[in-house]
Amino acid sequence: MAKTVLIVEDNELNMKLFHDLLEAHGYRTIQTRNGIEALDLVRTHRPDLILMDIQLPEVSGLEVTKWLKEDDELRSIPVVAVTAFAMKGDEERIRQGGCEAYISKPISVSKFIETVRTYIGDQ
Amino acid sequence: MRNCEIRAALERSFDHLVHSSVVDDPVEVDRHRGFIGSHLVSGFSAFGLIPPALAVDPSSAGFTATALSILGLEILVALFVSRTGRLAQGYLLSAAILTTLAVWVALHTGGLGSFAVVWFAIAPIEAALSGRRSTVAGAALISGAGFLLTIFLTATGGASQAFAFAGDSTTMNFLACVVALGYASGVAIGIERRERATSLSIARQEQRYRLLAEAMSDLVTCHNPSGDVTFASPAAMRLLSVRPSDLIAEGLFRRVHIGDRPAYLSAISVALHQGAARVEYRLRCGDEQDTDGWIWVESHMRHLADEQGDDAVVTVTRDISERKQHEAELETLRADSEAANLAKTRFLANMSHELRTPLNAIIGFSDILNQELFGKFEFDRQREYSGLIKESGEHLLQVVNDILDLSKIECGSFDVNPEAFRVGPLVDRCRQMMAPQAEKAGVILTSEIEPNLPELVADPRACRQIVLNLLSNAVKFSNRGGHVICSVRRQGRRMAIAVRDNGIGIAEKDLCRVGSPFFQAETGYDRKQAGTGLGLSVVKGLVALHGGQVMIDSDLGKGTTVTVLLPMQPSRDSAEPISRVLDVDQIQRVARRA
Repeated sequence: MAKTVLIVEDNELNMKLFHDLLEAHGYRTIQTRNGIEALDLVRTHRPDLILMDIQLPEVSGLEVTKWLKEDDELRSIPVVAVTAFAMKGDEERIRQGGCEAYISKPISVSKFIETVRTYIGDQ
Repeated sequence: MRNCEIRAALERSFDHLVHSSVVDDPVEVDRHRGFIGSHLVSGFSAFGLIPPALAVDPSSAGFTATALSILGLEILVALFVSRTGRLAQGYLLSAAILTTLAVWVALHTGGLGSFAVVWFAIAPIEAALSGRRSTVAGAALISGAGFLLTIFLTATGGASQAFAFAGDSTTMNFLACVVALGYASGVAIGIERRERATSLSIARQEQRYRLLAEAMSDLVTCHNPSGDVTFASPAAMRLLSVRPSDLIAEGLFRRVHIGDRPAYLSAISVALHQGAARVEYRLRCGDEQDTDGWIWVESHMRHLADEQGDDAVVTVTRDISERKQHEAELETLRADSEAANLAKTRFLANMSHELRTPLNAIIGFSDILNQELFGKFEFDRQREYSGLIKESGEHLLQVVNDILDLSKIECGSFDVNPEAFRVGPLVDRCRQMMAPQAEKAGVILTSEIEPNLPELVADPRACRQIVLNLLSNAVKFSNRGGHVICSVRRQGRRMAIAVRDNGIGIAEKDLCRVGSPFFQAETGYDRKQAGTGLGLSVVKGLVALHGGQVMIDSDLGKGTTVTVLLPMQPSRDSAEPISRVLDVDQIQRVARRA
């Protein structure tokens, strides 16, 4: 059965890009643009990986990651941050927030797929 | 008139005889000059009279010569005062000489009945010129002793009539009295004259001090140890628009702003105990009920002992409202610029984020197309165009990154984290990263690393960016079949990283502007190379942050060598002020004539 990736992303085009890419590589996706909804979706669908945008409306991706990592049942799901923050120290801040990996926008298609494969456990 | 001139000239001629300890006090100088002058004149006159006296009456030669010689001793007294400056002793010595003379003459001219007896009064009168009671008393004592000695010797028959002059004694006494009276009158006139000069000089000095106090815009006040004002200078009117008397006692303190009173009082206490203090506080001007008339003042306080030897504090107070206003303006400016800087940083972060988000879609989707994930292109043109879209997207991304870096360098928020690393492997990695671009441009990329290089202490991230930007530029401005060499060698206490190409080169006229943001030497529509000129600006900024140097050596049409010199160890002052980082002069330009 195809592995599931939850995409948390508030930009329409980027959402489509990630979805199309993942779909082309045989993954199923669940999509949300809202951090709080993301938490519910994780509980109900138990995805194999979460792609997390950091700058989200209302609740930041870092906050959502913190909640996930505080939950004993959900802690094991890898979180890969995808963000357009590229200022110095951003990566460190994001990794400290509990994210397993960090991909900066704009992405390179091959690197993106490689990272997803690594953390979802397909390699 | 002529008389006055002669006198003044005479007085001046005695000026240099006055002792240096009194030259600053005009009244004292006058006293000393008068004493020295009159005693020298009388001494020399006495000596001068000896030959004619001998000629007139050879029979009394011994007596007359001795009397005149005694008077001649006055020269020595004058010299004594001139050399030591001790005027009081001078008067006493003079009194002794005059008394001795009176005793000598009286004893040889009939003792107590002699005409010379009246001369005993002269010594104390002369001493009155000294202006000191103790000197007058001393002179009177000496003179009295001489008088008593004369009485005693007369009674015991020690006096003689040997040289009693011819003629009746009444005439002689009359003459002697006239001489004494004349002398006493002269002394009295002298005293009066001196008194007038003294009071005139005091008045002049007072006038000078008043002028000084009035002309000074600084307020001078004296305080007793409890802080009460005992004196206030006329500047009170100028500074606070109040009379000086309004500040006496607690008048000044009541005008000190309540919030500044502790500082004011503690400054007085510090001045009392440590000698000096400085304090800034607000004072109310004009009417005490006026709550708007505040001025900022600065007081310098100094501990002094007043005339009675009691502790006192002298304070000089100055209006510093203008300075305070400047300080406040500066503070506002500083806060404004800080806020502007913060806004700029925030703006940059936002801009970067907003530009990267759409770029992600552009590069991502064109990348998917290029990889033909969802089916092959029908025409080659389609592949070419989607490739161009991706390339342009990546170029735009580079521009965004460069602008971001440049802004961070300029506003000083680019942190340099120096660590020790080996430059050789870093350059090799950069060369590998550039290999695809070089291959595409048909340019050969090689490196020459000097063996046994020491480790460089610098920010590796910044160094990688420096090398990458230089290599990228070199490849970009090389013709197909060109050769780019990156060499690293040690140059004294610095590491020289040089990138040499045999590309298009830079004209001498353009050299000075190379490295300015958005400047590319070859301007116009025929610009062949893509780029913004930001790459070298970033290199310049990063090198400056390390306290290094960038040198460009170029030959139009033959190639360019850019050499970066980095100190082996970062120096303390390498953190350049922001504004200077992108100073064009930071680049040392070497142009060879083509």
